[in-house]
Amino acid sequence: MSINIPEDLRKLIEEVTMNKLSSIKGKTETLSFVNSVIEELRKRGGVNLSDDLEAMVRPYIVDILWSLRKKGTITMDDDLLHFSPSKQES
Amino acid sequence: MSSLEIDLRRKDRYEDIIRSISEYGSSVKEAVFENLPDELMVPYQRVRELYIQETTRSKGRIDVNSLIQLYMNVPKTEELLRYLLLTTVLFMGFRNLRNEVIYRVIRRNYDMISHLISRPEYSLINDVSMKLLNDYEGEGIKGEDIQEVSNAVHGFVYGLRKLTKAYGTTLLRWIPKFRDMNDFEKALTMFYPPRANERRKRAIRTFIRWVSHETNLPVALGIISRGGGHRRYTMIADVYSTMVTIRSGAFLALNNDHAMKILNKILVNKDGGGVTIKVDEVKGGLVRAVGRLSNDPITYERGGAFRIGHEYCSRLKCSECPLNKVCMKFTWVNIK
Repeated sequence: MSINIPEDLRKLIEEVTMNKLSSIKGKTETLSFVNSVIEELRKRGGVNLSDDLEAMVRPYIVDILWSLRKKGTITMDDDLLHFSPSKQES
Repeated sequence: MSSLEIDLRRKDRYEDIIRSISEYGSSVKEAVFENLPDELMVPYQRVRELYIQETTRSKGRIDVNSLIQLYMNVPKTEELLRYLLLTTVLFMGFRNLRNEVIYRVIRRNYDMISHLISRPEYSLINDVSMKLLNDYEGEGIKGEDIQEVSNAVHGFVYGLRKLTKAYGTTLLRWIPKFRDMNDFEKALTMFYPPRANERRKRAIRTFIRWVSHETNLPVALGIISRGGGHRRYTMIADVYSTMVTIRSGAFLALNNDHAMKILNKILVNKDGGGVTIKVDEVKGGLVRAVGRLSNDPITYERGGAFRIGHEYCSRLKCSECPLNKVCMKFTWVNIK
């Protein structure tokens, strides 16, 4: 079909997202979190994020967050603009 | 840019968006009916008149058999159905498909087409395909393949011969017998070249849409009379209908997890440039679900997909768009 996120970039995004998440304590603004993941991806050499690709990567980060929400790792605020890590157990 | 006040408790607001899309859909005519050859325009109008006259007389109830009898008395109704069927079969013959070009080309070549329609002979396939292809490419579209065109025409001839010779019936007698949309969709595959892909589904569903709705050509009476069986129509959900459903915020009426996830993606990327949402990601869960919620997916699709999406939304002509007042204007969302 159209452009897709390459598999290795996908893995890298997941890794960076999880890393960033582990350093988060309280309530976080989702937008700035997504921005920080994008920034980190840019910092790491070898990732060339074109505008088109970035437009795919941004929602993918939100996808990851939603899969974590499903697992109970994070909770989303009702306004959908913030999230917070749940108390980790299980 | 106006601020987005999203208040998910106000479901009515999002239902209003859906309603506006459907209303617009019922106010416009399918482009194919505006492009019929003169000879077929008469049966098209006459069948519609008969339908309205008979359903008004019997207070909305349809006596399928007697209505079909009336349709049969209208000259060229069978030809009209075959013409519409061939048009959608041709959707599979061109890679760079432009529906409106197909409508023009088939109409311009009606003399030749009318022979094929009334006498579907294999020997006509080559000439017809060649003529249609030349004409299609004459409109400035390149990269087409004669094999594909002739496969499509072959599919049509094969299906029509099977229908008339093996089954001993006609489209006008055969179509109204179906009471179930899925059965109808399966049975129609015999007219289309055998290939399991999206394009084929799309072509078949377009034909279903044309004959299963009272605002088009109401011939699939078994489906229509079954308490609005046309509501079970599965939308094609292409780029345009997806674009309108998402950008307008119509999907928010669903208020489920899937819708919230998509909304979240949209919201957090508002200032970060664009955000791309893939058709496949939302097609079934959101777009078709909203179509079903509208109670009439056929008019929803016609309004949303083929007019608003194509003419306003993809060109960002918000100020002229009929949805302007109710739309959430998530214009930074791209659909791929």
